[in-house]
Amino acid sequence: MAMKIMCIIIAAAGVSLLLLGVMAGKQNDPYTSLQEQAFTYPENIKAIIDNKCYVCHSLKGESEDARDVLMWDDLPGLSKARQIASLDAVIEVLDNGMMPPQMVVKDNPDAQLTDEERSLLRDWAETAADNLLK
Amino acid sequence: MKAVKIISAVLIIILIILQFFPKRLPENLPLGPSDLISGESVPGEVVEILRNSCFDCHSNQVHYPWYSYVVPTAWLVGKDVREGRGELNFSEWGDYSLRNLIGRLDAIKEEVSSGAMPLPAYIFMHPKAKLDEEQVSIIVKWTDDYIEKILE
Ligand code: HEC
Ligand code: HEC
Repeated sequence: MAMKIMCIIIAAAGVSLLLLGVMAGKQNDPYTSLQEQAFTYPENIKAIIDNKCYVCHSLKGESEDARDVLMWDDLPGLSKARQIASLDAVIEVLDNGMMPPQMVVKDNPDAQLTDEERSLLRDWAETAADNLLK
Repeated sequence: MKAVKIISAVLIIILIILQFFPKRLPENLPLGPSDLISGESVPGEVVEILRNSCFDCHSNQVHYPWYSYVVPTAWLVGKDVREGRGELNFSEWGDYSLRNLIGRLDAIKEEVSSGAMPLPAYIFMHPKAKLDEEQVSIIVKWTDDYIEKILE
């Protein structure tokens, strides 16, 4: 009997903790309640971002500047306007060759985007922005 | 004493020689149909603020101050105008795609709210260009309304 009550209490505690966690998560993330997730990353695009952009533009990133301007994980949850603005900035840096930063590419040529990756990423960003504008 | 005189003389000669180098100031153009202020209906107070604080680097109607006709300051001013126009040119507003417009408007809001624009060096030379809180909120509201209009 005692054993059973203990189990129920532990289970109840576990469930409440989970619920609390979910709610806290919601509160910490200012976006989830506001916007529907407008897009997901297709596999090939995710791979390019993971390999060539993610080290800096994610929580892993060391540069605060990079995290301030673009967080790939947060992008789909931003407001429509901010998503379009971010995609516009992405297209701009792909066109002018500003990213990945020259300094990094100089030391490690593998960090550079191949022409194919660049055009895949650009086309995806352009289509995503156009869809948001429809 | 003699050393000071020699150094001054050398500096003056260098400055004089520098004046023979090209000043490389980007050219101005008359207002055209793509200019923000000739096309869109922009609230007067917004035009006023942009003209007063931003157009000297972000338009084709730059008021070049006297020091922009003297090398080497000419080069600094020229560089700001070239780079400024590259990022955002209110004289090419009508040529921007909707995506570009939202990108620019979002960036304007960000730069103005954070106080990053106008550039500090410009404010140093043009103290009246500094935006006060009210001016910042006028610009922020304008960008918000504009983006909303595009997206609706
Ligand atoms: C080594 C780190 C690093 C990598 C890798 C990197 N970035 Fe960046 N990125 C930065 C930093 C730092 C900034 C901020 C630069 C600044 O403000 O001048 C930045 C800024 C940006 C901006 C904002 C530019 C602007 O002017 O608004 C975009 C967009 C961007 N990066 C996209 C990308 C893309 C796309 C990739 C992958 C192809 C990438 N970055 C890879 C470090 C990086
Ligand atoms: C003295 C020249 C100067 C003035 C005045 C000036 N800017 Fe800029 N602006 C620049 C330069 C140069 C750049 C590009 C380099 C940089 O980002 O610092 C720039 C970049 C920008 C960008 C793009 C930033 C980005 O990273 O995407 C925006 C938006 C901007 N300015 C808005 C404004 C606004 C709004 C005003 C007026 C309130 C203004 N600027 C006044 C020179 C100027």
